[in-house]
Amino acid sequence: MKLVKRAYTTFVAAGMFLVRMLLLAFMALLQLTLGGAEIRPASREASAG
Amino acid sequence: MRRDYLAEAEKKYAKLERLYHVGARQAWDGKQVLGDLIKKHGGIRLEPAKKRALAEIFSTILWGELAAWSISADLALQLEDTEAKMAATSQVFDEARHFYVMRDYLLQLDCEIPPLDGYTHTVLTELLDTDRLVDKLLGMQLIVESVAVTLFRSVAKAGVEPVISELMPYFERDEARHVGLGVLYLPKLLATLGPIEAARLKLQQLKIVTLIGWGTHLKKRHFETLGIDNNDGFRRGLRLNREVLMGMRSAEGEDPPGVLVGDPRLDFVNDWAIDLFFPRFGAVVPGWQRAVIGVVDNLSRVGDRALRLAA
Repeated sequence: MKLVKRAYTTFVAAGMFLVRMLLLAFMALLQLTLGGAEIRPASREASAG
Repeated sequence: MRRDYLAEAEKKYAKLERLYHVGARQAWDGKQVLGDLIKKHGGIRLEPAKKRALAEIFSTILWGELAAWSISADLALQLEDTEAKMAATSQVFDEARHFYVMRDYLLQLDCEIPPLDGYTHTVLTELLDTDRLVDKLLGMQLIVESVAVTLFRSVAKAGVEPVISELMPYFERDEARHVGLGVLYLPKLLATLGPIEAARLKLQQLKIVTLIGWGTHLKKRHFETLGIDNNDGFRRGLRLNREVLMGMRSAEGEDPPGVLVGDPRLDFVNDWAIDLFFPRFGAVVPGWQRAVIGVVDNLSRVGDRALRLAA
C-alpha cells in the first residue's frame, strides 16, 4: 500500500513539476513580449536579506 | 594525502560532537521563554484574519516539528558513529521543545488549528516512512530545516506579532545546528552511493522542492495577510540552500554525489521563476501576469486535493 501511495504522489509531483515548467516558459515568453513585473537578476547579490 | 583525509575526518567528527555540547549549553526553557514573552507583550493581540493566517502557516511548522522530532529520534537510533548519534540526540530534545512551544503558542492564539495541507503531508510522511538514512538526512536536515530557517527569519523580519517575532530567533539558532548535522555527516553516506541510487536521490530532492514550491502557492494568501514577502523569502532561501549544499563539497571542491547543488550559471532561471510567480510586494503587475498567477493559485488547490487522496 505504501508503495502504491508513493507511486501516486510521485506521479502527481512529476505532473506538477511539468506544469510549473510549462507555466514558467509561457510566463517568460509573455514577459519578454508584453513586459511584466520587474525581474531582478543575480538573486544572491540583489536579495534584500 | 591520507593523513590530510584523516585529519579532515577527525575535524568533522569533533564538530559533530560539538553540536551536542553547544546544544546542551544553549538549551532554553520553552515554557519560561514563551511565558515571559507573553507577559512582556501583554498577550497575543492580533486581528482575527491575521490570527487565522498565522495559524495556517504555523500549523505546518507544528506538524513539521513533530515529524522532525520522530525523524531525529530515528537518526539517533540508526546512525552508527557516536559523534553523529550525539548530535541527533541533542536534536531530539530541541524538536520536542519546538513542538510544545509552538503548540502552546497556537493554543494561546485561540483559533482552530487547520489540518496539514497535501504537499507538506506528502513530504513529511515520506521522510518518516523511508528506511533510507540518506533520504532522511537530505530531506529533513538540509531541505526542510533550511526552509524552516528561512521562514523563521521572514516571520521575525516582517514583525507579524511581537511574541512570535521574538520567539523565532530561539528556533532559528537550534535549526542551524540541525542543518549542521546534515552538512557534516551526509557526505560520508553519499560517498557510498552508486549511480542509480544517486540519480534516485536527486529525483527525490526534485520532488520535495516541487512540493514545497506548490505548497507555498497554496499558502500565499496567508503570507500576504501577514505582510510576508515570498519573493524575499525565496531569494534568501535559495542563497541559504546554496551555502548549505556547498558546505558538503570535498576539500577539492567536488560536489557530493546524489545532491542537486545547482549550477550558478542557471541562477537566472531561478530569478525569473521567483519574480514571475511571486512578484515583489509593491511591484507593478500587469493583467496577464495577475491572471496566470491566479491560475497557478487554483492549480495549487487542485494539487492539494489530489495529494490529500493519498493521505
